[in-house]
Amino acid sequence: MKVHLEFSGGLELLFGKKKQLTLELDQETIGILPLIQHIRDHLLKERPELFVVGNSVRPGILVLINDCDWELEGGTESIVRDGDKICFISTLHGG
Amino acid sequence: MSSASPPPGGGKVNWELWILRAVGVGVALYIVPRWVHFLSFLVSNSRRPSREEQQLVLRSLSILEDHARSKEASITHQITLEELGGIDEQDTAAGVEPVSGAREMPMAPFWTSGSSALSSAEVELYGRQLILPQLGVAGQVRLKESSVLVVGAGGLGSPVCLYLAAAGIGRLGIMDGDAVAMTNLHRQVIHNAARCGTNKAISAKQTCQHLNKQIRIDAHDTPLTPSVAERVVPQYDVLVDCTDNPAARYLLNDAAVLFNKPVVCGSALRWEGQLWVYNYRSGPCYRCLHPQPPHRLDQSGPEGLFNALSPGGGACDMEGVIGTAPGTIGVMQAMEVLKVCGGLGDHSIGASNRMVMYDGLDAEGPFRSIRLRTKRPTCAVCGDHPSISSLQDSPDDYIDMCPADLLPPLPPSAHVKPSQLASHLHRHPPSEANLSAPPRVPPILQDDNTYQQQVGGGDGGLGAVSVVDVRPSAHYAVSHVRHSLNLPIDQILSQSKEELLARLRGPRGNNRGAPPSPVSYVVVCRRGNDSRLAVSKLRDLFQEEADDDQGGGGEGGEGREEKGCTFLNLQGGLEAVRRNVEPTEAMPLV
Ligand SMILES: [Zn+2]
Repeated sequence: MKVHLEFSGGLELLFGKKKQLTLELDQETIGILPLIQHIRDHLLKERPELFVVGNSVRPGILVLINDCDWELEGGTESIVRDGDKICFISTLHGG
Repeated sequence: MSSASPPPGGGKVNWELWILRAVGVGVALYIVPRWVHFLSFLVSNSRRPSREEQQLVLRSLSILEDHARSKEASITHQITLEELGGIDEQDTAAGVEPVSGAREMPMAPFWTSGSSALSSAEVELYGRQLILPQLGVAGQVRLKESSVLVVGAGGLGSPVCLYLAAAGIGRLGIMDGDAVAMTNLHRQVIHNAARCGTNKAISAKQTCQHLNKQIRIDAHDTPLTPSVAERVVPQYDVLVDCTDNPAARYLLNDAAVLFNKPVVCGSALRWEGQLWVYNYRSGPCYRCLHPQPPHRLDQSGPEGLFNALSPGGGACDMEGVIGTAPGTIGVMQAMEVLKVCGGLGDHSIGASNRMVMYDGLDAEGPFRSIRLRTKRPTCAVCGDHPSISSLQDSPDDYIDMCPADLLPPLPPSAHVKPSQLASHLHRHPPSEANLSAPPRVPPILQDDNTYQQQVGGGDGGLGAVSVVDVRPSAHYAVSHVRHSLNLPIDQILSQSKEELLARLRGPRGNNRGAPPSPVSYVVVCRRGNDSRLAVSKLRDLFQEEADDDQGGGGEGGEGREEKGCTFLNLQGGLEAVRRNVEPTEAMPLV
C-alpha cells in the first residue's frame, strides 16, 4: 500500500524540511497509531518528542485523514488504506 | 442673513466671506460643499489651505449649522479643521485655536435616505459594499448594530481592525497591553514609526478613527487576563482572536464559551497561517480541538522550544514571520466577522466547520481547507460535564507563559549587568569597534574567525572577555557584537561536550597564543533568557570541572584550556545593552 504523508505548521522541519513524503508498506491497511510509530521510527530526522508523545502525536498536532480531522474517521482507531493522504499539522500560535 | 459688514483687510477670500454673509444661506448652501470639495482636493494634493480659506469654510459651516438648527433639517455632512489641513506649529504659536468637534451642514430637504437607520454620510461611506445584494442596507445596518472585540493589535489585528472599522462595525473594541516597537512595523501596519512606545490598542484606535468617524471605537490598553476577560468580553457580540500565545488563546476560548460568543481565530508564523471560527452554531471550541494545552516549552511547534522563554516576545520574534502571512490571515478574519455580523453566517467557514490553511511558499496550493471534528462531549469547558465553570478557577493554562521560574537558577555571580558589559565594550572595543551593524548583512561568522578578545583586565571589571551570542544564526547575521562567537542555543543544548569545546576553543591552528586566563565568556541573547539556559548548561559541562581541576591540581583533561574560565549571563540581553548605547539606532537588533 502507498500512503501520502504531508507535514505542515513547522512539522516539516522534523522531516528534513520535506512537506510531502510517500510511504510504501507491505500490507493492505495499517492502523493510524502503528503508522505514527512507523513514521517516528523510519522517517523522523530529529527530536521525536516534538512529534510523538506516548503512542500518539504531541498535543497541538492535528491529524487529518484525506483532509478530515481524524476524530471524524475514528480517531486513534482509524484505519489507513492504500492511497490515503495523512496530514500532520502543528497548530500555529503567532499573531 | 445678518449684517454685511465690509471685509477687513480686503483680499479675495475675505471678500468671498463677506459676499457669503451678505447673500445668506441660500448661496452658502450652494457654495460650501464645493468649497469643501475644493479644499479637500487641495489637501489631498499636499497643498495646505490658507488660514483664511479654512476660516471661510468653517464660518460658512457655522452659518449653515444655525440654519439647520432653525429649520430642524437633518444634518449629514461633517468636516473638521483637521480635514481642511489642520493647524501647524506656526498657527499654535500665533495663538490660533484648534477647532474641535465637527461642523455640520444640512441635507437637502427634498432628499431622503432609504433607511432611517443609516445616515447619508454612512450611505456614502459604505455605498460600494451595501449595493452587494447579499449584504444590502439591512446587512449594513446589522454591521452597524454589531460590536466586535479584537484581542491583539499586532500582525493579525492590524488588518482585522482596519477592515472592520472601514466596513462600519458599529462598535469596535481593540485590546492589547503591548507598546508599539520598531520591530513590529513590518507586519503591524496599523501603527507607525512615530507611535513607537504608544500602547498598541490606543495606536490602532487612532488609525481606525481617522479611517471612519462614524463608528465607536474603544481601546482596552491591557493584556487579556481572567478578570479583564470577565469584564470586557460580555460587552461584545463577536470575538476575534489575534493573540500571539497559547495562554491567551485558551483564556479567550474559555471566556467565549462561558459568555457564549463566537470566535474568529487566526494565527500565523513564518510563511504560514491558519484560520477558523469556533464556538459558533454548536460547533467545537478551541479545547475540543486541542484538549491539552501545548507543553510550555514547545508551545509554538518544533522550532518554538525556546519561545516560552522569551518574555514579551511571541513566536514571531524567534522564528520570523513575513508580514503578509498574518496580513493575509487577518484580512480573512475580517471577512469572517463581516459574514457572521452581517447576516451571512451560512457562508462562514464556521458554518461548515472548516479550517483554512495558508502556506505562502506553496506554489501548487497556497490555500486549502480541512474539515474539523465536531464538539467533544468530554471537553473541559463546552462538554457535557465541564470542569471549567469560571475563568478564575480554571487550570493553570492562563499563566503567563514566559515563566522565569522555568529557567535554571544561576548564582548571582554568574550574571553581568548590561551597563557593565556596555561600558566594558566601550572602553575595550573588540578590534575596531562597537556594536553597530555592518552596512551590509555580513556572512555568518566563519569557524576560523578569531573571537577571543584580549581586552586586558585592570579596569576592575570583566577582565578578558569572549562574547558568545546564542541567538539563531539568521538574527546574528544581521548585527552582533563585533568578533563575538555565534553558538545558537539549540546547538548548545543538543551538541556534545566535545563539540562545544571545539567551538569555544576555536581552531587551534589559528590561535594567536594561549587564550587569556582567566577568560569570562559572556553569553548573550536578545532578552537574557536563552543565554541563561546556555550558561546553565555550559557551567554544568565546564565550570565545575574547572573547579575540580583547581582542587585536584590535575593535568589537563578535556576542560584544561577552559580552566579558570567562567560563563556569565548577560542579564536582560542585548536589548538591555542597547539601552546603554547612544543613539540606540546605532545598534539595530532583530
Ligand atoms: Zn469544547
